[in-house]
Amino acid sequence: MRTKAYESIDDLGRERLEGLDIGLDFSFGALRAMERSLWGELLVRYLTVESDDGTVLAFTPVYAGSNLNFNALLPRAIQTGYDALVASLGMAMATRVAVVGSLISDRGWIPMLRGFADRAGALRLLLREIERVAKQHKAQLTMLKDIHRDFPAEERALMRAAGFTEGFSLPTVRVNTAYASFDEYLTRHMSKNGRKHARKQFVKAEGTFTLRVIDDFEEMIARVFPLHRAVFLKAKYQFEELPPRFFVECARSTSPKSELVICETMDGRIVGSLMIFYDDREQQNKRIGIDYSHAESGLIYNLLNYTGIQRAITRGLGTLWLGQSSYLPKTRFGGELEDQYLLIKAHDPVLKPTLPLQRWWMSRYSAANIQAGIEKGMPL
Amino acid sequence: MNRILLTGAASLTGAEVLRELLHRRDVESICLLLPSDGAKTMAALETYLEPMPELVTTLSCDLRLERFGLSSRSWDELASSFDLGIHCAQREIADQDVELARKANLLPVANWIDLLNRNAKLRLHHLSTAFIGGTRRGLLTEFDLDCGQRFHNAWERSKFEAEAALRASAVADRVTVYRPSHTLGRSFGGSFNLGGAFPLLATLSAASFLPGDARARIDFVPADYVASAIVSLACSGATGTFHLACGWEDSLPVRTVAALAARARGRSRGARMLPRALAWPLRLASNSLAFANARDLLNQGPVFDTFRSDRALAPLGIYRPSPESWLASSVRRASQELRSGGR
Repeated sequence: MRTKAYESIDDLGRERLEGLDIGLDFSFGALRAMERSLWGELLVRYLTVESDDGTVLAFTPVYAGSNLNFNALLPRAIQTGYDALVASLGMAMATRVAVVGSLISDRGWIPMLRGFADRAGALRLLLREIERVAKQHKAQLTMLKDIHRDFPAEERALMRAAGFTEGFSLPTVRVNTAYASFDEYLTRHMSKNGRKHARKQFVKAEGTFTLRVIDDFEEMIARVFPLHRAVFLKAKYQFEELPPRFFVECARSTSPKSELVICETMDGRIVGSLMIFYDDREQQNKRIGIDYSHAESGLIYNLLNYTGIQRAITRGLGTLWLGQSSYLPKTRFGGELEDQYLLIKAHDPVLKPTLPLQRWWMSRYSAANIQAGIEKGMPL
Repeated sequence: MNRILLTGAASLTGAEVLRELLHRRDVESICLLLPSDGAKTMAALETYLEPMPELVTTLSCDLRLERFGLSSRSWDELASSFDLGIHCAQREIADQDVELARKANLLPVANWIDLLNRNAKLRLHHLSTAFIGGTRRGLLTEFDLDCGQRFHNAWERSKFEAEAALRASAVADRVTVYRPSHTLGRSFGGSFNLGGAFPLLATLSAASFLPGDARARIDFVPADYVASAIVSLACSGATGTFHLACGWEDSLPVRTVAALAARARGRSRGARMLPRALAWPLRLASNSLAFANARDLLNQGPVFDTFRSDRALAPLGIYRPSPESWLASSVRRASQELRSGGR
């Protein structure tokens, strides 16, 4: 086995990833969309572990730069303090970070060849290569992003053994959509209140909004991007800041497939937009856009999400991922929270002592803790 | 055929816009709105461009007054006489005088909105600035306006407010906004005046120490690129907001620009940058406006996304020039002009 680093996903090629468990999160089209919409000094390298005959055994992207919002999960005071430090002392104070994983993933793992036996060996090699690339790009922190709870625990242990400190990351939300129809979903999957809530949304929408699905939505980007941007600017946790080009690349993607659900007022004004990724196994409600100036922005949000659920059920997909935010409504829609882990390694002696504190702070992001908050009416 | 009403023809960008308009065959008439000393301005423009053809007329007015200071009758006539308005006039001084800035940058926009209300066929092309992004660090897209940013000076604030007024108006769908980054003279030629980013370059070329960040990037565009983009988009009926910037890839580190500016002045070494937090004593020994300008502009600001302008300009054959191809000669020429007293 040997490691290799590629500068573009096109250099690696779609075919070579086909044997790996890439899912939607590490799909070729999603990574290419991300690569083509990097801005500022952010760069990406694709690291692989390959057999002697060139078969890719393990694979992960690594994004390096100082314009990654690495402290988005930390206390507001730290974020403000960091911004003030960079503003007053310059870019030399900006922390360079290497983020391992897909920047736009709903959940993360290390994609490996299906049925490959020596996973531990491949992972060790990959971790060594990650270390090399992080140092090459002068990263002060390396983060293995959002390792999902389904990723083997013994492999997370290998990551910790390689010097990474493990803490909770924001949980992802999974919806079981293995139902014959949306009606069956409402009846069997949701509580009485949830069911009532969902039906009420569609009744309320009648005569006010129309929803339609667009497969080829590139021409719509200029109209819906401001809505997606509004959601980003309002978000409590602002991670990757995506330019319009990202949406264009997503519209062009065939792997994963993509579509856009738009919500329009009766006079044709677009007030909501939901970009969906899907393949033949699962679906992700990838990005949502809302016109907050509309009095019914809450209803628009609900309608888009319910329509997303309907789309997954209609396609016969068993799983829908709703992403890592807005846990209260998403659990109302029928989603379940699933733990994810952030593994951090500091290469900078100043940052190293802060890791135990970060780990402590991030314990609030466990699915159990957030679920308890939701039940008390105090979601994250 | 377009009948055009142009303000700010005597500005760095406005003069280039006029040059572009004079070269187009689909322009029927151009009316320049000029201040009361219009004859002097026209003479300067003719020296810089060419003797004005008959299709160019002038109208004396004061953009800062209601109805540009014109009578109701003249105002109505003005409203119905044009298809395209290109508003390049602005007060570009980066000071803290909000009142003056609003008077010069916001009030004319209110007048333009009134003109647009009176003539349903009139379209406005408004020269704003990418620096409405103010203190934002991060991406600034052509779809953004209020990102929660603060402003370094009254110019940025008033230009932001002007855009906000246009967006909120009932005529917003007939308004196109252009946001150039730091604008200098023509890529391969002179410049009408030394406005735009020239004062910043002058500061860079003269100072030994400045408040700034050597690693930050500065985004420069030549005025002829800005003008040809404005005129081509205006004549093609484009609407929306367009960033006219060179983009992150082509923007230059402050350190490189400082070296360029110093070389143009015959100095071997560029100004050294001191972090904002440590540079405050420099203020005591320097022109406070130049100090504030350097402090605000030589640190990392927003990264300008050019998605929309790239898509709109490529079919028109207009491409962003890389600063490496024109900046050094432009700075050299400006430096010579500054030494010889400038225009």
